[in-house]
Amino acid sequence: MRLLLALLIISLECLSHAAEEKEGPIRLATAPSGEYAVDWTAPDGPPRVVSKPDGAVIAELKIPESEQSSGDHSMATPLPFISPDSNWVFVMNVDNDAPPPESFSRPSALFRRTRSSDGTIHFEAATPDRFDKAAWEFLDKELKLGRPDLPPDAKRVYSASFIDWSRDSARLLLSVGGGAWSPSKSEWVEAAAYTWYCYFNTRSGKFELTDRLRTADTRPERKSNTSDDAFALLAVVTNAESIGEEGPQSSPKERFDVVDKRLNDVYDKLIAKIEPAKRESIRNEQRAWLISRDTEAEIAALQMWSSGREATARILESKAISTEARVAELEKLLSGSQVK
Amino acid sequence: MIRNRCPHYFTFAKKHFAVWVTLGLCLLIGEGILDEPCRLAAATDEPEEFHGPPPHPGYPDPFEIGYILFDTFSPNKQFGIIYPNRLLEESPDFIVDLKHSRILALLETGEPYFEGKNHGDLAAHWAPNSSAAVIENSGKWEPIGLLLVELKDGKVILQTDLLDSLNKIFSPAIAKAQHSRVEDSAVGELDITGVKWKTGKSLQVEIKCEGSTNPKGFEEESSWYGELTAVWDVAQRKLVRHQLARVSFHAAGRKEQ
Repeated sequence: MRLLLALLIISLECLSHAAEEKEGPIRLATAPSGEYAVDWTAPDGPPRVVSKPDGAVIAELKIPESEQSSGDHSMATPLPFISPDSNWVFVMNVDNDAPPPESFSRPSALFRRTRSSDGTIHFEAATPDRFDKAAWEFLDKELKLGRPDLPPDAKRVYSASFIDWSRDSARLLLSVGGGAWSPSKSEWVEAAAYTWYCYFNTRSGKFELTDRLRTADTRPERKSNTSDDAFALLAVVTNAESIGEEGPQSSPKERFDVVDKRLNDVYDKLIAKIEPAKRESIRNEQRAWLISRDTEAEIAALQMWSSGREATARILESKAISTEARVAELEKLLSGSQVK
Repeated sequence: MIRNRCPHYFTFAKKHFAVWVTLGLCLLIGEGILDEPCRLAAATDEPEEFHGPPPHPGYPDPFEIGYILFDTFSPNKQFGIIYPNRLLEESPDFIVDLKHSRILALLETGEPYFEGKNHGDLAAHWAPNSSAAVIENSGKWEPIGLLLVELKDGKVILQTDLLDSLNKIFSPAIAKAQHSRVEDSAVGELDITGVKWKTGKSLQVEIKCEGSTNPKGFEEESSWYGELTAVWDVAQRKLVRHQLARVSFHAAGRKEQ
């Protein structure tokens, strides 16, 4: 009897535990101000803005359907990127499992936080049409990107990928692409291989190009398929310019190459100068530091959701910063008392 | 939080746990082994989650939604591997410290493994003392990486790709049979058949593999096959023994030589 009672208690306990384990919403991002968060229930729920103090749903961040959009994006994962001042949320849908042309497409929307007279928070779309489409149309007008004579059945497909928010939240940096797909031929009739940069200026409510972006967008390397990082990285932008702080971006490749050479020089001098008994210890320390530097650089690029050339540039930036610190450490060691 | 590799199976098991427990207890009573509770505990002994570093403020956490915790852990349950799902499929695999929620190192394999990768698989063979692991990143015809990861004081101190060393044994044997230059002779298919750790005076790992030059069996191509057993000494950082066995060679368009 006691055994049966024990079985019953265990079963009830497990049933209640199973109920608690039911899949709930995933927290996608938390506003830097801490006021709200964006949650999502997989696989097809819309992202929801929830109040941080009480978890109440404030808004749904639904990306509007495009007239030209085709295919099923219900399995896409929404990725929200909240501005530093927490007033803007850029959401892009990513679906790497979709067949072309949807695999290229990155439907996106930008939402602005507003407050009504009674203090209630709302989120509204910053553009009436789909954000990725509006961004492409702006760039097409500025840079003459699209082919004018598309076949009648061609469908234009757009992508707008997040790159960065400026520190003052005034500019959202995007990488924008567009291609045209023929459903009858099941092929691209206008290549969707390239992307271009543009900003959305949250103060003027318009897309724009600065000299930094226009230079990168019009460089021949932008359309190169070379795997040579040094060449391809000439046309990469990773940092959004704040208002009043516009200017060219320094090359991460050059910065890293310079400091990497300095590191090798200092390290060689240290190994030559140090007591032989300490050499192995320094070598082991340097190996461990290299593993740590490269790992931290990959993590930094992942935390910014970078891919392709932007990821390569951010990894080099991070490596350059760590290497500069390491050079300073080794120089101190070289001039210090530890060396004979 | 990154969950274990099989979240769906895990959830299913939990939801039906009551039934399983009832059935299991009945069976145990029947078998008269209810006095061995450790057998029940063993099934839930594996780490289930990994929390990565905090995300960039306002951005999604890539380690929360883009990574999966591989289900093979170090014997002391401190270390594991995380790999990306389809959302971050071009991103690296990492070795992590589960106990201290730290990412220790990216796995230095050419092509990282990701969830659902075509012809891809991942295996981890941990040393009994959790101080090293051989990570097998499989591809279609041969491993993309066979990485020896060494750990000390909770840090990754060295990663060595063992494939180069194995290929250096195969190549001269193939060249000799084919009368070709060593640099032009390589296995077309390499299949790792066993990884076994040996503890004794020094920590060693024995790798068994099969190499062949003509995996598709084209008649117009010569065909070399051999089975290799090689032993890597962790402290000496080199192969200390190797043996090729069951070697066969068929010249192009001819019967066995």
